[in-house]
Amino acid sequence: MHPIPVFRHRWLPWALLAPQLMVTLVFFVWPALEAIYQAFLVQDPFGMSSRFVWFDNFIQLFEDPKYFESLVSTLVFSAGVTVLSMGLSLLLAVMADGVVRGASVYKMLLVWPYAVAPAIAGILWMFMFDPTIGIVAYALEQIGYHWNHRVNGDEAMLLVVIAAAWKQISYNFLFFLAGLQAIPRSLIEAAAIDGARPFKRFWTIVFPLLSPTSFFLLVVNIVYAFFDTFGIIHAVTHGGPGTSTTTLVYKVYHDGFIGLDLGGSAAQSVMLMLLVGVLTVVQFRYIERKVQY
Amino acid sequence: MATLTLQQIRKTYPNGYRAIHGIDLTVTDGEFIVIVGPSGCGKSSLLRMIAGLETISEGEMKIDDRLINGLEPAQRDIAMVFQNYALYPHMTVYANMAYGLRNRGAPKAQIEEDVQRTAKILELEPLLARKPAQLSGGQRQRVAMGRAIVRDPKIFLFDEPLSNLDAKLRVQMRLEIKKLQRQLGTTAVYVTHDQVEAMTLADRLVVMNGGVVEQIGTPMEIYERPATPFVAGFIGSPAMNFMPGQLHGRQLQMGERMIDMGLTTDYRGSVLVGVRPEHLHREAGAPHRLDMHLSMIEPLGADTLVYGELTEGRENLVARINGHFKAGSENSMRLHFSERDLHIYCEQSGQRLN
Ligand SMILES: Nc1ncnc2c1ncn2[C@@H]1O[C@H](COP(=O)(O)OP(=O)(O)O)[C@@H](O)[C@H]1O
Ligand SMILES: [Mg+2]
Repeated sequence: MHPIPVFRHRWLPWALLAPQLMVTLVFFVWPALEAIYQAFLVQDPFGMSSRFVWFDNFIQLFEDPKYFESLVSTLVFSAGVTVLSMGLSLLLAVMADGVVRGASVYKMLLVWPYAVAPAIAGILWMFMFDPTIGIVAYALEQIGYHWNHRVNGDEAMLLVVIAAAWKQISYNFLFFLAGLQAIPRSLIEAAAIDGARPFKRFWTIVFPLLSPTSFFLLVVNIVYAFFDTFGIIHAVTHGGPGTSTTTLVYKVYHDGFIGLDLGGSAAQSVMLMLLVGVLTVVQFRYIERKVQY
Repeated sequence: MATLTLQQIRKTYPNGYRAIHGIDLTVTDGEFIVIVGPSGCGKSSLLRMIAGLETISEGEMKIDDRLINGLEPAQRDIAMVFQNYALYPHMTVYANMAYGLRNRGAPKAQIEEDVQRTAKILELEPLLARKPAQLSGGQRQRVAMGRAIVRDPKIFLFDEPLSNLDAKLRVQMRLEIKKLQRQLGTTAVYVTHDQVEAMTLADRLVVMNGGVVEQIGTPMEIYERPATPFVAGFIGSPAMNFMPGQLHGRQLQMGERMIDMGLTTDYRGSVLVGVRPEHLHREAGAPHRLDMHLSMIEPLGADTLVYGELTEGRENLVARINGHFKAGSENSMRLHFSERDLHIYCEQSGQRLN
């Protein structure tokens, strides 16, 4: 059978695509090209003139120890967010999968955090951990731990990791739950008859069968932690104390808009673009192929 | 090598649904028991209670005098073949078969030996390195069998294991299952809704309906003397014909006809009279006769099925006529039967009277 031509006019498909294309061009392609162009320029401190400097901005970037510090922070942050959010959501999904009564209520409650704006989520966690008025900080004080993420860089990192992971749990939870529910009950029952105790069943049957889901979520979570957590970090720590929670994305903002080093900031953006490209390739290469079993 | 004893087993699901209403059954060592009944009658529920996948609401279940009500599935030393096979999709055929042995901590050499021996019995050797997705339906079925027998369990449980296969493979696997079970001598409980499977496989049949056992017996006992109208209608294909009648002591009245049944019962009243399609003959050899209006003819090759209505009572009737049947211009035919082939049930209680 041949496809039936639905559009008789050449211009109709283009007209229908136009709004989306416009949005993409104006808000994505154009700024991206602008950033690439800016990455090769140096501006004077007052923004009056700029000079074409070839790869100077990139060379400076790679010679800057602060950039590598930021890279390390980003890796720590991403690993923390990914492990915490995937681990917790898997645990929650396994428990929700076993719930018989009121399952939809649990699901709804667990999905709520996803609807909260990142900045608001950040503020929420910041208040809870606020060293002077926060309820969690108060509780920690009672058990003898003095919490102050405004001074302690590790605590600040922990806090943004928790806040960022919390927001991502809903998403992971839904995928894990769907993955779990796609595993036929009879497989688990066969394993039970085959003498595997619950924990063993999980590791030898359930977890391997979830691996396509897990791999997909791994990539999604890394991308999220790398690129989608600006709002949370901005709301909670402003990248501080010092630069302890300045991730690569936050540094782009900080160097460009606070430091006014537009060229350097643009060069960092270009590096991030390359990174997104690589992650996208990884995602398509491996997820399209699915994790084989 | 085991016996299985069920005493007054009942099942009530958490939602309050009562699926099984008190079943007694003793399966002797090495016996092949088939539980047959229409869909939803509680066959799977019963089997899953034996396996330990459902809790037993009431009653006692024993394997070799050992009470198993509270035991985990793994502790019961049973093996089960599921309708969808339930093979572990991420493991090879070898790993699928070895899984149960590994979980029980068998030494590696022993596992290797057991799996190879089982693979040989089932002709699975060339497939050991494959994943289930790379197997045909019949091969998957074999692997599922292999996984069950490799552990040498006390009891095999089968839950409609052949219903996902096409007709030809089903017949072939049916024979193989029977042969294997004979060869291994393992006690087996097999659930199916297919009466041909049930008749051919069973040493003894358990006919279930609505959560109760209607009759237990060998396939031939059940075919020849079905205990209730349900069993009579369920076992045998096409299903038994039923007509109304009146019983006066030893005399059965059907319409104008009086038949001397030679019964010793003193029951008088309305009865249900059953006669199998294959016991209605065209030849005048049998003493009694009836006339039917023809409505449809189905040639099956060896036999011909003739559908129609009883002339005097308008009940639907089927007859299985030997050999070729030439439909003439006449639209009615005369059929003969013997009183020995009649099944008589009390209309109220469903109890068999002859
Ligand atoms: N988990 C359950 N909860 C409630 N009712 C159930 C459950 N499982 C089965 N049933 C009911 O019990 C009856 C018997 O089911 P089942 O044993 O699966 O029948 P069969 O295998 O003979 O088709 C059916 O009416 C079914 O709806
Ligand atoms: Mg069933």
